[in-house]
Amino acid sequence: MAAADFRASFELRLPDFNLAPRFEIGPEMAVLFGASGAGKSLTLRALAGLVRPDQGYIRLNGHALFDSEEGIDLPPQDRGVGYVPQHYALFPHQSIAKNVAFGLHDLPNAERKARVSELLARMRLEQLSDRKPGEVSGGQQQRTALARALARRPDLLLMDEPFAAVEEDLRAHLREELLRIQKDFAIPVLLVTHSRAEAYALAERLIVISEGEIVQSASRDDVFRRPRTPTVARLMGMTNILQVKVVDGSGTELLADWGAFRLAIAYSGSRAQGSTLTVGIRPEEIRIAPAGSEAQSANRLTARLAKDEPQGVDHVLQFTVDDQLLEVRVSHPAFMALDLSAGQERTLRVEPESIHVIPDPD
Amino acid sequence: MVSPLVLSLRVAGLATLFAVVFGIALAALLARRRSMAANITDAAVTLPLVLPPTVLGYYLLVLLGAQSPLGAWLESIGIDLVFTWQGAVVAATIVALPLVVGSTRAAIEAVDPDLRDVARTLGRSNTAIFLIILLPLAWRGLLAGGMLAFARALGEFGATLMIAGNIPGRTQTLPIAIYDSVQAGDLASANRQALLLTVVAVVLLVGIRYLGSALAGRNARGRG
Repeated sequence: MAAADFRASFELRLPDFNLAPRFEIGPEMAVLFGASGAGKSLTLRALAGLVRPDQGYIRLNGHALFDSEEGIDLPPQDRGVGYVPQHYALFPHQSIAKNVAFGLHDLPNAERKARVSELLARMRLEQLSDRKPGEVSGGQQQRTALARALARRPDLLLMDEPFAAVEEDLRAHLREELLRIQKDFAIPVLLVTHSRAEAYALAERLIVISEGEIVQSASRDDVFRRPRTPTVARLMGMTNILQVKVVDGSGTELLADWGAFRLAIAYSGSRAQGSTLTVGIRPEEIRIAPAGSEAQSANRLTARLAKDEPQGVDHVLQFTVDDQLLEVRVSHPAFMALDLSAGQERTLRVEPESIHVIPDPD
Repeated sequence: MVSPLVLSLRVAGLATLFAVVFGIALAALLARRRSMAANITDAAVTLPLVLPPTVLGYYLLVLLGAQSPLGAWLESIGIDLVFTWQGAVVAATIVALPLVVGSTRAAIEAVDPDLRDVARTLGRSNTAIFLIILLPLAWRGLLAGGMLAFARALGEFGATLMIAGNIPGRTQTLPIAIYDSVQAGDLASANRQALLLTVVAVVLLVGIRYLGSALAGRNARGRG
């Protein structure tokens, strides 16, 4: 692999938490995604130099920001890393223009003014330059924080939950803008979020963190379609995780048994007969056959509806198959057409392509 | 000859100035620090708040008197703090200092720590961050501390009497003059002087309350 622009591999031990992330990113939009408490914000703070890891290294464009073996620990002032914390931390007593200029103290006056007006124009903030942060909208605050961080031309930009303080209907627009900015500045951007929708909309590279460790780091589609562990699968919304027993692993499709049911799985590798395999199925990729269909051939399961959970435009249906649970997601119109009620038995169908082999059981 | 009121205002004014200058420096050093050294410094600064003023005054007398090395050295460079109004300023500064430190430190610690962190990633030194970000955002706390300090310095009695004595026209501040008037049975003077100090205290207290509510209101909005 070519030298990545940014590499980090460190360990930070706290009394009740152990953070040990290891990943690399290029000049791309990378999203650090995980549940609350997984260590996302702490990772950003360590990269920015605001907390000190116990050991390991953090390298940006070939030089060390932190290296425990070489005794290097650059202060945040000297890292060339832009940092936008959650809620932006704009200086409330200073104007938008002064906020943007804050990091440009070492530039000559004329150059500083030019840089500030260039950024204000780029972020469409010229009209607001004399306002205080408390007098502008959430989206404008976000752009101010971005402009302030980019003013020093950092080699890496870190953003913690940048859309948390923004109205829902503005987010799509701001996401597009952020992607454009990343392309313009051509630096690695590492953004933290706990929202799957946001991660999907933004990430070129998706880095999944769980309990302080990186469980998968790959292109967005790779992580969404081929989660490496059950934890990643669940975080990606692949809520059905099944243990199946391989019956025939030699053909183009792998045959395996899940309880009394036989499943054909699209899988190119080979697996020994009798071995156990972990597979995942997205709840929206399970079809419900109309009443009266028989459940004989492969990939058809007889299931009983245990619970219907309406979630906005969708229904999340809990089916029991023997003594196991299977989650199915259908749209409201489809649900109405099925005429389903709790306790009814139906046939469920899954395409072989919709059953994903999870290579590393946790 | 200096009237007790003028002398009191001069002593309290200078003591407040010194307390604010040293108080800001100490608050900056102590804010968000929980180390042993920080705790000991904090305890030393706070001690005059709990120590009886006469005890404090006695220590000052011993420390600054001609018999002590410090006193002897001060005398050799021409500074005489015992039984002078300058000694009263030292006493008032020490009793007022913890009020400035406490109030300023609390106001600095109330500033969102992310502001300081971001400022560091923007290449600014700790001194610049303190002067440009923290102090301006903590000014209400500092002002409230300064007003408390002035009120406390103005009312200083025990420590001042010990170190500066009761020399009419030279070291006799207003609280000491009241004591003197009562001792002499001159209740008319005592009433006048007591009323004067009460009015000053009430005005200061109203000012501090106003600052306190303005500070609380600003913080509440900031969270919304």
